[in-house]
Amino acid sequence: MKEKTLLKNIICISCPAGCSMEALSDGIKILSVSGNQCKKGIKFAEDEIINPIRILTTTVNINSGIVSRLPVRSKTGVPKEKVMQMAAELKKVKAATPVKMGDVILSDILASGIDIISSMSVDK
Amino acid sequence: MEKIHTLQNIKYDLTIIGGGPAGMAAALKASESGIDNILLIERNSFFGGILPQCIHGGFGLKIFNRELTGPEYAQIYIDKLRNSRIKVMPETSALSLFKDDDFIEVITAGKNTGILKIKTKAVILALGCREKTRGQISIPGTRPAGIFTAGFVQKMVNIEGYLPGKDVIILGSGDIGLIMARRLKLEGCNVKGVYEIMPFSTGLSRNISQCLKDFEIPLFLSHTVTNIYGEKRIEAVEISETDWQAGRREVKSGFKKYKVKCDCLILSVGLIPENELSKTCGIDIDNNTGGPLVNEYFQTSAEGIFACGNSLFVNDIADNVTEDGFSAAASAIDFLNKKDGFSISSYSRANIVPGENIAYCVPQKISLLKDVNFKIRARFPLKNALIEFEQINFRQKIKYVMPGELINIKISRDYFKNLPGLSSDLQINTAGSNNLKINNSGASDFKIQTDGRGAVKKQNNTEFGKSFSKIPDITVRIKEST
Repeated sequence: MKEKTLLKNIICISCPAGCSMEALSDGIKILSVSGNQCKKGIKFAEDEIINPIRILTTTVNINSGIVSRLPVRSKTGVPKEKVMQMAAELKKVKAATPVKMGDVILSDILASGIDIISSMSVDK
Repeated sequence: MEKIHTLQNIKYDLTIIGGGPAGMAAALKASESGIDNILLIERNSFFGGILPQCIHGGFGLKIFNRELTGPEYAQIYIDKLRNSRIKVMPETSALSLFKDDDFIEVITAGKNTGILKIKTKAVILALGCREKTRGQISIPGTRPAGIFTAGFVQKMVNIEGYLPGKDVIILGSGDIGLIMARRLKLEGCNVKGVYEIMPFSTGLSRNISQCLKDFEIPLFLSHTVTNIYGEKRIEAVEISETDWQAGRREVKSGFKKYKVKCDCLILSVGLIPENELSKTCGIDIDNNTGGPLVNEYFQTSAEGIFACGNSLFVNDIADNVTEDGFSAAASAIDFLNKKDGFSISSYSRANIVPGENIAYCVPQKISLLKDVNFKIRARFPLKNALIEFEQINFRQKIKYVMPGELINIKISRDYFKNLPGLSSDLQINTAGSNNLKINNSGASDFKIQTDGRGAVKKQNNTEFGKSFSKIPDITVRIKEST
């Protein structure tokens, strides 16, 4: 084994199986992954070494007569280290009804290029 | 869907009680199968059960092959419900069930309907589950404000928009506890730690990773809360290290004990299937699951009353609940259509009994009529495990069993032929909708006449009862694979 290789234990969070994986990398790219049961594991391990991402889910304020909070999520994974900052940013947001599941509630959050979308439909 | 407001048509073919994932699935499946006269009763003003408060991801991987949040998963079924012909009664509680020979009566109390007496041919119970509280785990100490169950906190934060406190301690490392640890951290709370009485977590490993490790929230295994301090508001808890040996967990003298300050204690200490309604008509309950005793048709001990979802046993993932809702509905439809195999006399031809390292196994009863999908909950984690069904010589190796992850085992009905007490092939023939002919030992043929709903009216061979009573209980075990 070369000096620069790095062995990292990773729990795959792609599904409830939660495979316990070992990923060997040179710090820039993945050399090998073991312990995964499917292809999702390899993709997750790659992301986890190079650019760890998470789906952010939280709630925002809404001017509805029915519900007090609107559940929202990031459309795709956001950088892991930005999760707390983005959650704080979303506290400033107030959504307007009617809203459909999948509607963009905040586009391009913190100039990340990622949209925050509604998880629920609210009529009024 | 159509909301019920008045005393219109209170006779239904199928009544489903509970509008969560199990109940919605059951109603939709029954509706798609051509049953027109379906009623869905829901206590809340909205459908989806707990899904709308489960704003995190992880839903739908099995059914939709993509990761959805709880509200998204619910919305898919809510939209289907809106476009269906299912009659719905939101803001209505089912108070009691009464089983007569020919029909089932449901008494309901609703915001728009008052008190109603509904007559129905079949019922599916999809009542969900409830959280264990402080009282059920007997934590000593004062009784201040600031002690909540995790699911209630989830509702407070995600639906109502309130925070339960600032300095938070979580007791119990089940999935809800882990998810609330992350949720409160995101909302700016100081989550001081998750404490688990057992030496392992019952939560999914992915949740330990993404909810605790990602946010540097400490997990203390073999630790529990042994005292609560504070007068008006909780001020601190006493944490004690636990000893865990030979299946016993206890706080021992000489073990570590210390005080941790907090203004909020969140309990994630287990769920219990909700069955107060089931008990009103005397449905037999399994002490291991807390849910009704059912066979592989989701049939309870009361004919025509089926049970599914978390009121049957507490599931790990919503997708499984939805699937069981579909299956329970399929059985209810067969029952309504008077298909074979629905005689209550076949409800319990053999019993499944939990043995070594088994918390429970569902179904607990089998009719021997078809292949069975068993769902098994282990008590303790075990590597290289072997699952064994005694009496039928069924064995299956499993790499790793965890109490937090339900084990699914499919057993072909061919295995049941190995049962002692059944001397030859069990054959079920039907000579007409009302006649069920069973050929057991070869020596004796017997015929059972039913009233069309499955209740036995006449049987021309009294050997029947005897033949099946000889079948011994089937014990399930999880052992180390050698």
